[in-house]
Amino acid sequence: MEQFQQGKHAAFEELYRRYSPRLLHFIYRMLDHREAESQDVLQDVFMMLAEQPFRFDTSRDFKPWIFTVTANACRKQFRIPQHRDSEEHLSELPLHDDKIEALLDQKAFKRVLKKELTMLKYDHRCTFILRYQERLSIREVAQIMECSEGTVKSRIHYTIKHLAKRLSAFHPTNQ
Amino acid sequence: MTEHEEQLQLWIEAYDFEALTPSQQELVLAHMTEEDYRQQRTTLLASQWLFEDEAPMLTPDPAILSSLQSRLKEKSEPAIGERLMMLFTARIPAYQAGLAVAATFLLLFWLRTPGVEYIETERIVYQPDVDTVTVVKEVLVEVPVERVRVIEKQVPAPPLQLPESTLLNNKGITPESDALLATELSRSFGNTALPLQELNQFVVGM
Repeated sequence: MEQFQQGKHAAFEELYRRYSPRLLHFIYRMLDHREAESQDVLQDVFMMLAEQPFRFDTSRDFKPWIFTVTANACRKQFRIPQHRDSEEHLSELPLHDDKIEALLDQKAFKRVLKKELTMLKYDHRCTFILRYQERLSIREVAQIMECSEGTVKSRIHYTIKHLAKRLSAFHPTNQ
Repeated sequence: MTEHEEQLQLWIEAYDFEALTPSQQELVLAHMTEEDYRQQRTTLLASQWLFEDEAPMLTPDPAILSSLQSRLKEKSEPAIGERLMMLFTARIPAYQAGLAVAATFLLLFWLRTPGVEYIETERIVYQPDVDTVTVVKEVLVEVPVERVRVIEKQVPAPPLQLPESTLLNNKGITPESDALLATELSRSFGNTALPLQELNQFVVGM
């Protein structure tokens, strides 16, 4: 990043190659798998980086910083009302139906899990994805989310407990 | 979140229920059922599996990188209008502005003195290499001035004491026959400062 701040375009392209797939995956998960919007957000993030490289303080780690910028960009898209339509779809799922055994396959479990993730609040979803999808440490997640490590642990604890409760009908232990 | 809950969270992430030691299992069962533990761990593993499974499906649009590259290129090459604006809006250090003003005055001064032509010539100039410093110490001494008053008094002069003299026997004009005598006579004056030729002028009728 220092090299890019000194005007080396090759350094920017290297940053893009290193981080863009990972950031896109994170955005995609945060924006409920809307790929076109995810690509737009990714472009916005790197465009900001290209336009204002000196917003980054080189004394800090780049990875938490770029994830913070990306999470904030996702937050703007997250507020779009259209996003919450998925809640209706979830209600259609027969989680407590007597014929639940028919859904006990990986595909159904995956589908429900995805839906449940979209139902999480922004902070909980972001924390959960950063921790278990991006495999970041508690400290890094706390930096990105701009909160304490205790808050991160608490959010993770709540999220896992909530998801487990919502998916209990699938008896995942049998899979 | 209590300390025990944090510990349970770490175990859920890392171990199956069967992998826990009996004491750990006791601690787990004090806070939740075995079924809850399994449920949460399976949910966590399933989420991770889901995240990993979908990761390769998505790749950044190549158009993004190309648009970013073109934007960087535009940014590094400003337009003509922007370049002109940069000339007027650029900031320079104060000393550079001062130097520019001084150089302008020097140029004007040089242009306003026509006809003066400087010819460079070489000459040897010896410069004394003085390495000794002489300190001249002047001491002013004030000396009182003595004034002398002169009073003239009229005093009767003493009688003039003339030395005795011998009168020459003036024989008058001597004949030619006595010319020799005249010469002898002139010589007889003795110690005189006058040369003989001057004395001879007084000789008449020789």
